[in-house]
Amino acid sequence: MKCCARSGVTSIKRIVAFCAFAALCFAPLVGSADESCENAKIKVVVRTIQATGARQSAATDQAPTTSVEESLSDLKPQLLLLPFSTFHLISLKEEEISLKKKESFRLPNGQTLTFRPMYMEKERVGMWLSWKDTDGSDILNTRIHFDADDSVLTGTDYHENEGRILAIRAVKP
Amino acid sequence: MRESGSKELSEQQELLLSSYLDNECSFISRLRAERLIKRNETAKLFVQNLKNTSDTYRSLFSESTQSPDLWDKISQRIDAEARAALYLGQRKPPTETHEKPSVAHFFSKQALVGGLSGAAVAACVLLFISRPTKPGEIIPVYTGGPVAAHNPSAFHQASLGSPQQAAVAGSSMEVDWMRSNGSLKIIQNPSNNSAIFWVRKRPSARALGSQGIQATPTIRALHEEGLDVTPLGTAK
Repeated sequence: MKCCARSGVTSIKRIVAFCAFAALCFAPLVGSADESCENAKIKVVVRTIQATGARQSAATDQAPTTSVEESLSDLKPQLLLLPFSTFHLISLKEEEISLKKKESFRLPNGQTLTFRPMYMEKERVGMWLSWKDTDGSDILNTRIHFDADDSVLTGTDYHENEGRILAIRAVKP
Repeated sequence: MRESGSKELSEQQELLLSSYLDNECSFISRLRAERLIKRNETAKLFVQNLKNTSDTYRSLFSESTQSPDLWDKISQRIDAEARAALYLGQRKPPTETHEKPSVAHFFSKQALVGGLSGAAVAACVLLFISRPTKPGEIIPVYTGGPVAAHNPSAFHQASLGSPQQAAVAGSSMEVDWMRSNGSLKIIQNPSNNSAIFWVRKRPSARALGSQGIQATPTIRALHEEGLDVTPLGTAK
């Protein structure tokens, strides 16, 4: 009787050990199934814009005093809404990022921009993005959904009478 | 990753929990999230906050669309117009062009009050739907509870994370949550669907961080000129 009980316990132990082993073996496969769609990449284009000549209010539509660089002409309607007189492109970065992978950019002024694209389907992009200051504090931390090829603009005050603007665009590579 | 006994959730844990609520988790991530919720009180509160905010948002939204008194009000308004027409003549429709659907957006809710590692934290949710916002309208964006006020790292979220939910026809940009260490200004472009997020950094953000902010943040919608945010400290 004792012997039977002992063999029963031993077989339960074996089953548990087998299950644990199987779980360990299959765990990476479960992960990889989830990752199969994560191999897809998107191209993220980040333009850093320097805005100078702070004004009290935004310019009117055709304000002759507002100067927008030729390379930023696609952003002109949005930039005109900001109370600055001059917009100058400082840097342009393009990078292909895998979906659900985190990627960081270092901006020219030492700030960092971190992305984690969540999905891209039907010309729609979902992305977590974190813009951190040089001291590591969050300037902006958000999860946002927008149309691919559209630029998301975000900005902050920078020194006196200046602003830093980021124009972020996601496109299929 | 810290999973138990920690007072504050790390960014990864917050992302894990929010994707868990949005049903975006893999099997393993789901297990991790469930274990985290079971073991960590802060995680439990965080998830509860997200659910509460989501419920609040949904109830507000359904109330606004299914209000039983809505037709009564419309009917009263029609009667009033008819009476006014007797004395003042027929009202002429405005000659201006119709509101473009692209401008028809609705900004909604939520922000967190508190600090993040020594910084004041604010969170808000921005939704664009087909309801024009009146110029100058102030929309409250925070429906905070005591947990959010006392938990610096927690923030609310309307559960809009899945791509299917996010891809609402006609909308251009949607924000699940947003936080910054300063006041946030959302400038909407009236001619298309885009918006600019402008962060006015708080100069003494680090000093304020440990205290948090006790006021309710608000967004002021100003079409043509964009949206303006009342600074957190001065909101009523």
